[in-house]
Amino acid sequence: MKKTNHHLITVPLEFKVACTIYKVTVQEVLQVFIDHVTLYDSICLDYSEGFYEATRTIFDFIIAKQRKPRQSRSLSACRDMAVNCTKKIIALTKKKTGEHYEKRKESQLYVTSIYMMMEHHYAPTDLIYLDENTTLQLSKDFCVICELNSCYPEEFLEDFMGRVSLADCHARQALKIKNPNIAMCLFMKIANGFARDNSKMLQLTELELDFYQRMEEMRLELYIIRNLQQRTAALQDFYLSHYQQMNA
Amino acid sequence: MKTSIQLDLPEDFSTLCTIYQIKPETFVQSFINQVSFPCFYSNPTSNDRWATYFFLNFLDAEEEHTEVNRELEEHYLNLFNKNLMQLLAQNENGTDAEAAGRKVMEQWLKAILAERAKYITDYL
Repeated sequence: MKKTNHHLITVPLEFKVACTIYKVTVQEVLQVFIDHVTLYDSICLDYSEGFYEATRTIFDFIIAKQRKPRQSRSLSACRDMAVNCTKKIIALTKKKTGEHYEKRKESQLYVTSIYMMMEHHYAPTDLIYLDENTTLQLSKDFCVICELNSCYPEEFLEDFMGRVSLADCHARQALKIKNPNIAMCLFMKIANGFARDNSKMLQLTELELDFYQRMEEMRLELYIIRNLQQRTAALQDFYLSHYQQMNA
Repeated sequence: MKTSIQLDLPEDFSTLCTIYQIKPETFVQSFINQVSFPCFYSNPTSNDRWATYFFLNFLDAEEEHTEVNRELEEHYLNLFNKNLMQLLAQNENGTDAEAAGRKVMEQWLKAILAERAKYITDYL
């Protein structure tokens, strides 16, 4: 039987290209994503910037996988306690008073209880390796959601990265086509500074300056390509060639 | 084709024209001479590309306010792009491509005028 290796994360090329263009590291983006997936936001119906997008991305993946509803193996020994904790979180989301960040913080108490009691099959450690030197820290929320849905953290991360396409996003923007891609929306927020340390001065090489200028010209030149797929393909080639130049 | 237009000359533009002794109409004429899809797309790196970039930016920014038949636009721009790509691949200097591009623009204009005439007659 073919066994999937869930210990190595495959970073799609288009995601690397997007990170290079916006000058963010793969690690930075994934860490912000992980930190914004919470049990609280999976229950709460209100919008909280970043949390809504990250948590929805995860649940879109779970729905798309169309896994038959089944009881989580990891929680079988502590089901009553987990149900109780979830009820407490539901009550918190329904509470009319208090800010979301306060209630989210309060929900940590219940998430920690589930985390301590559950078995860790899918996320056995809270540290995963992106490569030899780079690690990602999994939050308790993230681990609980993995176990609850019988998914490996790598599956969630790869799905998120796989949905990021700068070419598609820019082509849609230019053609004024609505973009329903919530993962891309989160990526753009992170690329524009959301939840990141923005105190560092951005250093651009001459090659990069040329590219950003050319990018603006390309945006205008491509006006004559009115087809979404064709425009996306043209931008994909253009962005990929920049990535290759940057890594030559 | 000749047309007379009236423009408000903004202070900064007017100042520059006075300093450099440029007649505003000379400047505007030289600018609009360079707005051309056939020239631009057959030679996008030429020195007279900037006015068309301005036009494209204008189209992008004002898209919601410009009234154009989007179906015809997609059809003719697609044809324009296809013909130019083909000719530019065969002949690098772009002269044939420019002429072919102009031909498509003429066809597009014809189609647009026919469509507008139909709109008017249908509502007579």
